[in-house]
Amino acid sequence: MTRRLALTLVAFAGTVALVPCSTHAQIRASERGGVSQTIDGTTIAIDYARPQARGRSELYGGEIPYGKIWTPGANWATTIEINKDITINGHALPEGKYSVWLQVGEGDWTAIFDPEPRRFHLMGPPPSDEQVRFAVSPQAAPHTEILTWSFHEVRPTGTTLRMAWGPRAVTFDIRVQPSRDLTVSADLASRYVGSYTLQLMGPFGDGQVSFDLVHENDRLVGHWENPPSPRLGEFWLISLGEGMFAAGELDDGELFDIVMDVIFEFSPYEGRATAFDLRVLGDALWGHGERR
Amino acid sequence: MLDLASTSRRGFVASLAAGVTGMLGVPRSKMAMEWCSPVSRATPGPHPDPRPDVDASNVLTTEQLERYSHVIDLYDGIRAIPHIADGIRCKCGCADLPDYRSLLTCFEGGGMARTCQICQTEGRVVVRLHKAGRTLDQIRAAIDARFGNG
Repeated sequence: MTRRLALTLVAFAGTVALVPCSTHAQIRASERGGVSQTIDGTTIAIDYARPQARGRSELYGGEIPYGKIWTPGANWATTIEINKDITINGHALPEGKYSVWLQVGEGDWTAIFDPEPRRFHLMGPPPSDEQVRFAVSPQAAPHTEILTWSFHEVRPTGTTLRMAWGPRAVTFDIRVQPSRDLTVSADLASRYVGSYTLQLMGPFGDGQVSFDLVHENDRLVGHWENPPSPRLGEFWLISLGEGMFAAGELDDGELFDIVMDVIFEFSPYEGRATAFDLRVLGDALWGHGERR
Repeated sequence: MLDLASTSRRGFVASLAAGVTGMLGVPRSKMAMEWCSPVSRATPGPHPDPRPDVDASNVLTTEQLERYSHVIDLYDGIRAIPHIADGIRCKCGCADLPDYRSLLTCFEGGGMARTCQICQTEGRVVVRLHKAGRTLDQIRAAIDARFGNG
C-alpha cells in the first residue's frame, strides 16, 4: 500500500512539473514599470503600466476622449505611494497609496488621487470627498513614445514629478516635510557666535586656522578659513541637540547636504561656549577650537 | 595629511572614511566590509534602565581581544562603567537582536563592538562624556543627537 502511494505521488509530481506556467512570463503591450525617489526621508514611489503610442496620432481627445477619467498608464491603475505626508501642487496628500487619474480636456486637465489604489483602468473612481483633486496644465512636449513617469528635478525640500506621453507632459510640484529644523534662534545662537582659533589634527592637518560663527537669517553660519572641503568655506551648522551640530553644505546659498560624519561639539555643556571639538566617526578628534 | 587648499568635496568625504580607518589601525579592506553610516539603523526605542546589580564580568578581556587590539582601550573604558553602558541603547541595529539588552551587550561575548563602527563610536562617546562629568541623561541626549532617536 505504501509503495503504491509513493508511486502515485511520484506520478503526480511529474505531471505537475510538465504543466507550463503561463502566468510568470507573459508579453504585454504595456509592460509594468516603476520609479521612486527619496527626499529627506520621504519616499515617493510610482508604479504603472507603460503604454506605447505605436503611431496613434490622436492620443488626447482621440484614444483618450476629453472628459474621460483615464489612468496615466494602462491595465491596473497607476499608483503613487508615499511614506510621509506631502503636498502636491500645494494640496495636502496624506501618507498612503493612491490610484492616479487624469481627466483630460482641451484646456486644463484634472488630476485625481483616489485612496483606493487597486482599480482597473476601465473603472475610474466616482467622485468622493476622500479624493484629492486639482487642475493641472498640460504642456506641449517633444514626443514621448512610451508613457513615462519621472522625477524631473530633485531639491532638498521637494521634487518635480512628470508624466509624459505622446505630445503632452504634466508636472507636479511635490514638497516634503523637513526632517530637521534648520533654523537656530537668536537666543540659542548667542551661545555660539564669535571667533575661534581652530587647531587642526589628524587627517585635517596640524595647523591653526580661524573659524567664525555668525547668526544670519535664523541660521548659524560657519566661516572656515582654508576649509577641508570647498563647500565648508561657508556652511550652516545644523543643530542635532544640546551643544551638538552637523555641517550643512550649501550650493548657491541653499542647503544640499548634511554631513553627519563631522560633528561640532561645543563646551561647556551649558551657557556660553568657549570651545568646540570637531569629531568624526569613531569619535576621533580632528580639530579643537578655542574662542578668541 | 589632507591638502586643505585643494581637496574636492568628494575627496573630503572619502577622507573621512579613509582617515578614520587609518587612525584606528584597521586594514582598509577589512574596514570596507564593516563600514556603517553614522545615522541610526535601529528600530526606534527608549534607552534601557540600567540594572542595579549590573557588572562588567562579561565584558571581553584584553586576552579575548587579541585580534582586535585597536579596541582594547575602548573595552577597558566600558569595563569601568557598566552601570552607564547598561543604560544606553545601541543605534546600529543590534538592539533588534533577541538577546540584546543595552550597549553593554555589544561589548560582551559575541557582541558586535569588536567590529561595528557604530557600537565603537557610541562606546567612545559614552566613555568620554562620563569622564567629562556628564550624567546618564545628558549622555543619552548626546547619543540621541549624534546617532538619531532610533
